[in-house]
Amino acid sequence: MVYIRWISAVLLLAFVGYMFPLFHIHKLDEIERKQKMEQFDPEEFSKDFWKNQLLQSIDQAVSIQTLAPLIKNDPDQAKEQYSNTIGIGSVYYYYLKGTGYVKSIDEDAVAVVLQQENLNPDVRIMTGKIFGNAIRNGSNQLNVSDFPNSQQFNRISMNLNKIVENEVLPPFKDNVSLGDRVHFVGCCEILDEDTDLHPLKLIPITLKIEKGL
Amino acid sequence: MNRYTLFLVLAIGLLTFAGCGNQAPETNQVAVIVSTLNNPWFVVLAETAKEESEALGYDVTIFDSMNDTAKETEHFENVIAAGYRAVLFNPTDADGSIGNAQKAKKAGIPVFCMDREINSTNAAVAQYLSDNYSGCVALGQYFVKTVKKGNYIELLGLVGDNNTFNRSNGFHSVVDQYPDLKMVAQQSADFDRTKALEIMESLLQAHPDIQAVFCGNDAMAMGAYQALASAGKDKDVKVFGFDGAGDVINSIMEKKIVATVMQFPKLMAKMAAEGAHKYLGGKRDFQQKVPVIVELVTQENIKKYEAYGKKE
Repeated sequence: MVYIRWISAVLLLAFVGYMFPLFHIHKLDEIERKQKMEQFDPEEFSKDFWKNQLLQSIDQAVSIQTLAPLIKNDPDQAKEQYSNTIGIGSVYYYYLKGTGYVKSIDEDAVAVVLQQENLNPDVRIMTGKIFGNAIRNGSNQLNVSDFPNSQQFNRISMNLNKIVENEVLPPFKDNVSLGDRVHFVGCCEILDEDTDLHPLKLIPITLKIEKGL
Repeated sequence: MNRYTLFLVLAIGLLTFAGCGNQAPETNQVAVIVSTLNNPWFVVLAETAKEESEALGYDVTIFDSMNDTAKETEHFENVIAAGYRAVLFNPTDADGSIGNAQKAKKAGIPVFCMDREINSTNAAVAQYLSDNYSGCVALGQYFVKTVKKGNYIELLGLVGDNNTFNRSNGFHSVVDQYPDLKMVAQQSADFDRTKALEIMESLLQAHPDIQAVFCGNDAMAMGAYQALASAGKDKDVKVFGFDGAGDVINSIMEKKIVATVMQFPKLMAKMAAEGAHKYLGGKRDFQQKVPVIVELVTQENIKKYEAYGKKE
């Protein structure tokens, strides 16, 4: 009968433990993520993301020297191999880096050619008001499923766009001239392949000018 | 029977009973719980979810929450008690509906959200949601291009729904950067056509000098247009909606409404029905939130669209 006593005691303990648990086990990273989301400050999050995640990820951007010829010759293959998407739909993004020469400058964009002799711009670096989700979605560094409330996810886009407008563009616009060599990293949103692939419209993350070439 | 044997029998019995709490009785029923059927857009969402699930072999019942979270809770309690196998869910409130989805999860019933979000990443199995923010960024840019300058009114949807603010925030992320466009009033009309009509009539008294109205859905756009028509201002004030509902698509063709944003309720309903079917077949790795693209519909591209979707 001793074994019945022990088995019944263990079962009873298991039952009491099941019904009235003394503690719960949660993954530490889940708790940290939950706490972060509860105290979510989109401006702070975006600044931190820009500095510690986005700028560290630029090696993942595809080279324009690789992408541009592929888009020209086989846009479907370019899309399959190098684009990022978020969710279901026809919109997709390229995370892009490269170097080119300034061909023209207007109020909303700086047109860049990859070879100085090219007549048509390969990339338009957008320098006006920045809208939408190109950097958030194009860089492929954030997952919408990590955000309990999509408003948080969308506010990140608004704040990333502000960083572009307030920090990336002003020094570039103040200094860029025709013929300059420009090193760029950024994201392109392809809403309509007829208008958005030739040239690519780049929302910049970093821009560096080389003068006197 | 001595007391130890009694303990043993009791413990085993209770454990068996407790284990049964997570097991729904075997039925072939799927529930579609929808925020309201007092709006044709949600009727399309619910009916499509029903048709898609029926095509997959389930018996489907639609439950109308009438935009009332308490009623929605009753539906969930009934669905759990009756042992439904899955819930295709269009929530009434991003925060208030989390508990209902959690109750179903605890009862072993998978929940798939359609169109409206709950602010949780572990209550529903997956959430198929229109990318409202992107849609209203596009709409905002078109608004700036067509209205150019002047005063405008914004009619918001339900304040407990994230769609309301994702739409509003997307719109304002663009329009607020143009100081020639001034919002003179912003008021909630709960996504409801009749409320929008009444509120618009009242706002027109206070703000007769407006050039545009941005409405968070098409039902409110139709209500606002009706109020403007009654006041003889429908030719002077540009109305913008969101949804792609049949009456607004017709109104864009007739040049009464300027633009809307097409959501794809049939696609979201189909994805939810298929998701539930796959879950019941054993699949477990679902992406929690799946944004579904939306498209700007204007008088220029209206020929590509029909009610609730794109022409084949």
